[in-house]
Amino acid sequence: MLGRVQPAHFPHVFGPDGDQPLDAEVVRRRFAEQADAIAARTGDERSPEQVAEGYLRIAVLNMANAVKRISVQKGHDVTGYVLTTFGGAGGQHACAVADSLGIRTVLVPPMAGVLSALGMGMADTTAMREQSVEARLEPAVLPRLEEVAKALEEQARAELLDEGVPAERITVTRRVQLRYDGTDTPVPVELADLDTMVAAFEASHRRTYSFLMDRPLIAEAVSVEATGLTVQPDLSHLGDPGTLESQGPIDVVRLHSGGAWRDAPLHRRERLHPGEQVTGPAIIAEANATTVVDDGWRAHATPAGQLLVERVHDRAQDDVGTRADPVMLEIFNNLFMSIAEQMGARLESTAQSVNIKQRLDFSCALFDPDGNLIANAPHMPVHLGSMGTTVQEVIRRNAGTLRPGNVYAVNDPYHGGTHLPDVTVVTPVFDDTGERVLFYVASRGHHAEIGGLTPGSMPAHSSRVDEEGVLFDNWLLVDQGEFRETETLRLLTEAPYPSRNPSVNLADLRAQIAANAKGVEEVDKMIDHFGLDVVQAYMRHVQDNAEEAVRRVIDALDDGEYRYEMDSGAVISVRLSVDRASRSAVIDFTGTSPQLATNFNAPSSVATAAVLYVFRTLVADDIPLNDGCLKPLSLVIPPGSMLAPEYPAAVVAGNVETSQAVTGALYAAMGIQGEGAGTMNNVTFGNERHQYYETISSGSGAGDGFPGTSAVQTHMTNSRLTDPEVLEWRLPVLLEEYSIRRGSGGAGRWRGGDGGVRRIRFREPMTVSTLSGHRRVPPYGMAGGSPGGLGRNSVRRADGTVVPVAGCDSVDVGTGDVLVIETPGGGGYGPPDGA
Amino acid sequence: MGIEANAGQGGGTAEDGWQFWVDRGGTFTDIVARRPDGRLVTHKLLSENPTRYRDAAVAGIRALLTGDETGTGPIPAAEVDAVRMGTTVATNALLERKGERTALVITRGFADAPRIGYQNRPRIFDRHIVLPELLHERVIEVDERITAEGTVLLPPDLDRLAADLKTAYDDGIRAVAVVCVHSHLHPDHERAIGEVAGRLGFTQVSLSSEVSPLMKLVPRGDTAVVDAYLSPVLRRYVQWVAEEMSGVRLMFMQSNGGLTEAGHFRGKDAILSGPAGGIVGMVHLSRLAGFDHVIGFDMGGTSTDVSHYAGEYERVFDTQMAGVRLRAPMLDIHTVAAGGGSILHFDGSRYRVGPDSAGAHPGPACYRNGGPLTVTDAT
Repeated sequence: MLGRVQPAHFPHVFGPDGDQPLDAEVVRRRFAEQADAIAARTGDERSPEQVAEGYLRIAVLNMANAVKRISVQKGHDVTGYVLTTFGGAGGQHACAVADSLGIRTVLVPPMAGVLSALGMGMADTTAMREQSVEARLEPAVLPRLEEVAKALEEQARAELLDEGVPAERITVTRRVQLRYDGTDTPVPVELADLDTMVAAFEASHRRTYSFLMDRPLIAEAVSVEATGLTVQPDLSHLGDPGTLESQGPIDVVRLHSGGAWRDAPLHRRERLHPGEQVTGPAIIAEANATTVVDDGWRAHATPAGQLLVERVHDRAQDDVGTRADPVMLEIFNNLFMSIAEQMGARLESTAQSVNIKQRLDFSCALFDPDGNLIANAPHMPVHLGSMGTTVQEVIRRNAGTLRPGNVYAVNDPYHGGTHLPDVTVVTPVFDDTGERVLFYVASRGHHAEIGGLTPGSMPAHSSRVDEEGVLFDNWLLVDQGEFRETETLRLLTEAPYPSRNPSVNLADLRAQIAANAKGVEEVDKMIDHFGLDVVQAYMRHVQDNAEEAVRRVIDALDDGEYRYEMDSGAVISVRLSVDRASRSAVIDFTGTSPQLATNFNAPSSVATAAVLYVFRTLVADDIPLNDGCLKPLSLVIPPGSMLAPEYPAAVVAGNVETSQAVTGALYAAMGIQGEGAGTMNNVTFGNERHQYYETISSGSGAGDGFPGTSAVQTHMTNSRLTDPEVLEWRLPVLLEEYSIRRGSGGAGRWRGGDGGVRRIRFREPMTVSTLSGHRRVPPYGMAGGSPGGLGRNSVRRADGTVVPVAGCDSVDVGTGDVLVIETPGGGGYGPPDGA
Repeated sequence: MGIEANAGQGGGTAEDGWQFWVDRGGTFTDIVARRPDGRLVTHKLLSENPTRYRDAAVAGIRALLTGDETGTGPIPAAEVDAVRMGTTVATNALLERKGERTALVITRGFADAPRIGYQNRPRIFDRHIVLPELLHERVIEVDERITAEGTVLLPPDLDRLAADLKTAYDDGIRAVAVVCVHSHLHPDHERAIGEVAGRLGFTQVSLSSEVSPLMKLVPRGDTAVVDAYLSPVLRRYVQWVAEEMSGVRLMFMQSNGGLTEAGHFRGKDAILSGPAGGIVGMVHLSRLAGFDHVIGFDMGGTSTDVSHYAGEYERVFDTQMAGVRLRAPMLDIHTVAAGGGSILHFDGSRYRVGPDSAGAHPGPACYRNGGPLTVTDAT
């Protein structure tokens, strides 16, 4: 459409006989039709060329984001890299992709259109072998590693010899996968003496994760790679234009570039002589590929037949207006999300605790200067919807005293937090003058130990928030660039119920600071690229876009109400009133039980998070979750209720259990779908030597037109479960079963998902604690569907007797006892057939 | 790796014949041939063109040798020194769930382990939670148990297992994946079970302890299932190509970036067979041009593969593809569903590109097959 592919210069392999050129006519007609359709629907009068250009811009951005994921996100600065482009379509977009990444050199190798095939001719032959060892790395284990490596090497060599590779062309690399005891991420090092391997491990670990740990090393596995070196093909004739004379462009074609049709020379690559230059805009065609040299770029042919394309003029800042543009809206949606994702990647790689690093119990997000959520990476819903409150608290409490380089930590449920394990780190992003805050970035991580009555900081029987651990109340974590380590350590260790593992808390807090720093860096880049006014305008546009999406949801909703009874008898009462004229809704929790003596109270931001989540799930579109979703909604949460408790009520279960119940109450009031989970089935067990925490999935609810799903994390959580072998390796337990609890989903035209059955046998005495729901009140069905099956907890003693365990309970178990957790099924939707 | 200027001996065979280097991709099949005189020539054709040829790789080789891609009859083996091929045959079978009918044999209590995985859902805001379709069609639980330390709590009940396997065999299933807890350290039970399956006539038996002998039941189990599911598909393809080119030395590209003899080519190592060749070529040619910090950008018909190189090949050991966790060494290639064939949509307020693709058939609108508007068309 835009002249970047020229049918006359593209292989004629189309049509019934495989001999016709590309059909340009149908393409022009179809883009014209689409431009008309877009104008009819939106009034946006774009030419067919502009429509095509808009699509290309998005495709280029998607590709640039993919490059960032494998480079920038892993800490590589790519601006000094070369972008080597190949594949049939690569050359058409390479300059644009390079521009998006700040790369100034593009290499188009000879035969770029068929480089994958050429690579087959250059590849070596390999044979790889590996074997598990799982032994502590100490002098005594070295002979065994050597022995395993030798056996594997013999096998790998034999395979290559069998394939006809001469022995003298075989090289062998022998590696050991090392990891810190208790972690999940091995680092390969070459098999050598002990000191060399430890040094190599530490160097690599520090480079990747930026810290070392004081833990023994485990040799996880030995791997061997045998390589049969291939004799490289002779490419010397590829740059030789032979007898063909250089004659400059063979054609001048119309190329749509920078918003207008322009004449562009078209060269044949095989006629370019070494040293010959082509200044963009221009097209260089060859047998199996086309290279577009964009404006501001210049190509030259090298003696080896390579085409080197370099930026010769600095590019102007992207000229984007501040008016909402459907192309840029998509681009900014992706950009904002990509920033949050890059923060998450940084946090995952630098955090030290298993809970953040492996169960991925964290979230990262970007906020506007008022603390409104703009975009998040798809992390934990219960975090995302409640972090705005945290940021707003930081703004309110530090008005006038915010300084560049300051970073704050918050977990106090009565001052912007939700429950104590979730610690949020907030960093303001200032303008160049250091006077005005342009953005906030924040990361929330679940610290698996933050003090409190019991190890793991999820006490079943806390009655005051102080008993649940250490409180961060508007805590200045970094003071104008200085990490307040001493003060923070004192906070962690001098609380009434101090942290049992403050060094890991500090390490994770440092990782959260680093994640935020990544966010600041990316925001700055975005502002450099587009200009502050444009970025700020799109900050509003993406929220407006989300707001409109929610208003469309409201258009289709009716009034409704529901009294949701929890197992304890506490009630969450919700009434939804829809105002069609203003396309808004009121969600009123009046009638909800007063604050409880237990720890099932939830700060009001948890209810907000549940509302935000529920409405986001009703939007049948891929928008980032943001505060725009909340604009058409007003929430009424009665003060002093369990959804707006007062200090010092205990709250630790509010975030994990009550949050699920609020979600269930909302779906019920809307009549949308059967109840799914309504609990996180929290299980903690341990003794003086071992501690462990997990949440077990239930069945999800069925809705109009779809069944529930069995044994899957629902609604406010999505954390991972420990692998059975890792569980048994680390803890003296035996997993007897984790299966789908067939038949537990509610019947209906659409069946609810089945819950799960998890049986854990203990190999030494421990204490088990449970925090779980739907053990008394079943998960509701919807529209005539049946409720899901009740969950059930029990212990089968070694002697065969079965002892029931309550939903929230604590029980001592002995060797040979088996804990059986049966999680609830999801509610069905619609009357079952024949009913 | 060294770059050498002259072609000489390699792979231990005489190199006076043709060499064919084939990338059989999703949309196009590309062939680079080294003629007996050392010159390189290329040929490009559509991967699927059922009215003209049965297999693009064979047709392309034929075209280069004889000038006619629709011809029949054997490829003259005496003239061909070797064929080296990367193929998306296994990848496509995985994406389209068209692999071999497979039964999973797993420790009792863990029948649902591949389904449940780590219990997270792929898209957090979807009310209808859709998990990837499982590759195996049947699970057989086997009574057996070994602890992490290697204590046998329960030896495998092979009689009962044999009866269950026989039923599966009689139902037409021929591939079996065997997964026992802790088998990466203690493989005896899996081996005993594998022998039973072999005796009963299963033609594909993938033991998790051989396919991926590392800790973590879930990815090891998935890898064994993928291997059982895809290896027979690959074997059929390899055999068919071998018949068409009887006597020709046939090597396949593996996901790890190295070649292997056709007979050693396994399903678990085949997923990136196509794009891996591109990384090797990209690295060699970038280094020839004097660059050792490279972003590889391979934009094809259905997707774009990007890669990072800063002095050595980067590999990953755990990956997820088409909803399947796979643990095998693979080049670190990140794929996005944005290629020339990605379909353009306008949804009322925003423009979208992909993730759906027009593929090779019908292909983009400009391919003359009635396809939708795509990136290629906008270009």
